[in-house]
Amino acid sequence: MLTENKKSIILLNGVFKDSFLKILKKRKIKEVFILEGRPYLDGAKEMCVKLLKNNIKAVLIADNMAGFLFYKDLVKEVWISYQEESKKNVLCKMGGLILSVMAKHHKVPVMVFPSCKRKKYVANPKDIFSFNGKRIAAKGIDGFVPLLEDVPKKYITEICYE
Amino acid sequence: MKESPLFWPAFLKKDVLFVLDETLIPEKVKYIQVKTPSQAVKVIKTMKTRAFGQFLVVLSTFLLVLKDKNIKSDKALVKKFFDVAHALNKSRPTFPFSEVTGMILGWAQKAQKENKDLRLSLQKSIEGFLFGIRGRRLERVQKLADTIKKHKVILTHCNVSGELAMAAQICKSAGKNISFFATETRPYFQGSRLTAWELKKAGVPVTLVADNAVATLMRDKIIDAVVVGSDRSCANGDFANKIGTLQIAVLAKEFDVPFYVLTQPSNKVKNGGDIPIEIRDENELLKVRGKRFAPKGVKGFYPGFDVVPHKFITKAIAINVN
Repeated sequence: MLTENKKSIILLNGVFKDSFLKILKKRKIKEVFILEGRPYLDGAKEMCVKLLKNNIKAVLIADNMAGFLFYKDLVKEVWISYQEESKKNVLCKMGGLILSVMAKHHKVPVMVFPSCKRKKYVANPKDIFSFNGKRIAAKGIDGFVPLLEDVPKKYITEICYE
Repeated sequence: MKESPLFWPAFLKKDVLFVLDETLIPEKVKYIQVKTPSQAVKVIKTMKTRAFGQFLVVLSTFLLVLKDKNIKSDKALVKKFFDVAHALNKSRPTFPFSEVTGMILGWAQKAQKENKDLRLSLQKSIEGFLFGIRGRRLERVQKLADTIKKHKVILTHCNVSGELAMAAQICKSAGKNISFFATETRPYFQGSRLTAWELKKAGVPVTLVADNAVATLMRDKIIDAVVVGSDRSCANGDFANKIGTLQIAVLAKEFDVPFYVLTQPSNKVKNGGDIPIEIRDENELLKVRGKRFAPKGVKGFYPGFDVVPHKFITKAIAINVN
């Protein structure tokens, strides 16, 4: 295990505006865990680079591994990138609802922070058939690739504005 | 009903154990030839086979040992059985290898005590057990079909070793049109490669989604049930399965979606907290087909399995152990 300290991990999902890094630096955060962000791997490729440039260690997990961290009671707080806010929901990076529900079950705070990505609701199905440019999936199947999802405000502890 | 190659992915032919290389599907259906116990351990460690395939490899490896003419005495044979059991038990920590090998060692000791022809007795016991397990899995396929026929669109995660595709065929033959969503199941893509492939081959509609899309599918009522397999069960009903299963189970509870799991009941482990979880090499996460995609300097963390508490299960579809 990388860590066994209870409630020690800050978990990120998405690519955040640069001002988010200032928050982490101000809090003297040295390490975060980040979801890879299928299908485009923007968590792995873009956010990790931003973190490393700011001397914050990035630990990558696949999008299906957050549950394990919650189960082990390792997660301290969750940050999710978002596009816009409506009356009842916040439009978040896909995977935000999973993290929010898990956080609710484990009494972990969820913060949302503006995304630096352009708003795009759905990707081409073929984007899920390959990984980093290499075909992975069986042929002749369908794909469904939503990129954003509404997270009800009841799951969110704090909505941050730039 | 057409049987998926994943339903019985390892078999013995003469003195060779043929193990389906699940990492090559869907590009190739190719079997690895295993001739020694150390080769058997290697196919397990490197995840060439997994889930039920591991179970078959364990049992068949002992059949391979029985065919070894260099082992002359019963005493040497039993010693070899213990050595092989030890090597298999430590190959991967989460799957209950010791429960399977312990059963076989028990047969060996009993046969020895009763002065039976050891090789013949063990061969009969192992082959008989394999025959029985095949029948019981086919029964479970029927139970699964009876369960899923009430639903229209089902989400599944990882791969249920052929049983889901076969149950879907039963439903299709009965005029029930069920379709599936399969998660891609990072980092080994068992959903993209195995589940999507076998469902497509079975003529059943399947749509692939990223692992991060499952909450939306449930909240928006796009799916109306979840089916997963299990690698290990506990006395209290908790189970271990592929990483990603826990968050699917929690979401199913949150959004009132029935959550079904195929299980092999066991009372050897009291509850899920006692199951050792395998942490695998970070490179298996950070690289795909040998090529690293994560920027240099990024670390990775790869737990192989989740433990799912029994409170999240709507119904366990158990294999008959009697």
